[in-house]
Amino acid sequence: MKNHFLGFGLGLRTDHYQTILDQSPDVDWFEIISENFMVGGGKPLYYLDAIKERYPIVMHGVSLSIGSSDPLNQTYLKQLKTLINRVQPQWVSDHLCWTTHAHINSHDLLPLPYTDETIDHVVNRIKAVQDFLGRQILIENLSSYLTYKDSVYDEWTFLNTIAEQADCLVLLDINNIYVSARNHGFDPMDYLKGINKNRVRQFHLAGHTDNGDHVIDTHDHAICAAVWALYAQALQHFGAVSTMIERDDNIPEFAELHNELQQAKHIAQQIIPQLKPELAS
Amino acid sequence: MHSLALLQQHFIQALQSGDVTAITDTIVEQGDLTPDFRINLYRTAYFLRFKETLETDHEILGYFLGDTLFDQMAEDYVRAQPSKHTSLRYYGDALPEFLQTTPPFNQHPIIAELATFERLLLSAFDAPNAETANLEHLTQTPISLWPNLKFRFHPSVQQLSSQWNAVEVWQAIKQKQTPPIATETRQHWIIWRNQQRLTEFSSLNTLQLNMFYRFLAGANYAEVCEQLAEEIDADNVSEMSIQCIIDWLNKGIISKIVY
Ligand SMILES: [Fe+2]
Repeated sequence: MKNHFLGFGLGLRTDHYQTILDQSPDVDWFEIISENFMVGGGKPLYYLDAIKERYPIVMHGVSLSIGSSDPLNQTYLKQLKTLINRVQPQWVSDHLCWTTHAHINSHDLLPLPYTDETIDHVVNRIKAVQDFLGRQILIENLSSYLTYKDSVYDEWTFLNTIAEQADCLVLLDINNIYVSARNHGFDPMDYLKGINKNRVRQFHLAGHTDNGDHVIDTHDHAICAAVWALYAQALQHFGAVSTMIERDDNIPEFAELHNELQQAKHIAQQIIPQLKPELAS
Repeated sequence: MHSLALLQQHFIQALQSGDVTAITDTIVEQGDLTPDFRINLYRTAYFLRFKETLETDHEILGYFLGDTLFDQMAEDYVRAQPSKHTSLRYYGDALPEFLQTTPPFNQHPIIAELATFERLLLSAFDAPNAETANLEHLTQTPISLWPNLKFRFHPSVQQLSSQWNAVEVWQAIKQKQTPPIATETRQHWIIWRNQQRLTEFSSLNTLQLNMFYRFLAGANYAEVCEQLAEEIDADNVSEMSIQCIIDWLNKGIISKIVY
């Protein structure tokens, strides 16, 4: 399976729309939050249309709720498909989590119990989604703050088994591995080693809030040294993987995020001297 | 062993009602943090996420109420209103009704009107795109066809009729000026998104409001003029109606002229 190394991307955020159009910054691609563009028209779609003419786009969703015991939300899936047709993204991702129950939406990425029941349930649903969309999707690991007594697998075994059985791809969030390792006391290297290399299509990097005895995944800070170090280890282990920085709050000037992205590129070039982005066909 | 559905039911119940007993029993004791502490990290985030959504959507209402009342509103609303949408964009849709019916907010009807106005601004902001007709489209239409003219409004157009001076209060706060005293006064407004994709609003008098709704209902120009003639001096009908249509065309709220 080809890796489709796209290079180094940033999240497309409202505050930066105009800067991106005015300055055409040197960024290999942008990741959008799909739900932000499931509207009729106006500014969001205007900027999206303009920016997608200049940059490859990947779509990242937060509402698939793949692990929910509610039926799959068909209305949402149709909206997602419509947006995919408009954007023609390089790929589409969402999270290995649940967000809704009995149609109440938590708007949070909530952890699943790592059981055979959950694996079967999620695998069937990913297959259904991939059939409906006519393409493979990427599934991302969460950061989490609790472990269920019901869980019988490590998180990485759970994620890897689902990816294999559903034949989907993986978006590894390096910061989330770090955050969850701190909150649950596992070795992040065990996580990296537990994931099939051929399925990893994208990395996320982000900042968090360190409260000492626990870490919260806030996406409102610069990336910390420990996450950069884990990123370097991930590159050594997986090779070149498209990398993107997620900043969702306390959003700085575009230049600051661009600098942070250069730092990612610099680390990657030291580990893999021959880096060349390629577009997925 | 819990079924997945039961576990999720207990989790949502903890988030929405604060009753964490059932879910706490399913969580492993790990390190120094208790299961109770861990589930409460999710609860805090749940509440804050909705509160921040309301703050973003209702910035001016926030200034009007002040922090204490706004916090109370957010807390009560979140408890009363679980989200049923995949997008937070619609989370506050029931806020105006909540403010109309819930004490202490319902004692000051201008509060619900401020919220309504801000929701209409949001609706105008991301409504579907459409073309806009301009004055040339009208002047190019042969006069003989004018009686048959119908006007289609831009999908972003919203209309608010308020009992209070809510829009004036909103505008003063927005411009960082001292708002006027809340006063009972019937006012009509249209809100739309202009060609630069910015939301705008402007007032309508009763005659313009009537014209707006008659065109919206599909009446043609002749029918609208007939109605107007019952409301004002027949000599003024054509001038008044044409002025109004020209004004709408200049504002970009008409998307199509059909006949
Ligand atoms: Fe992520």
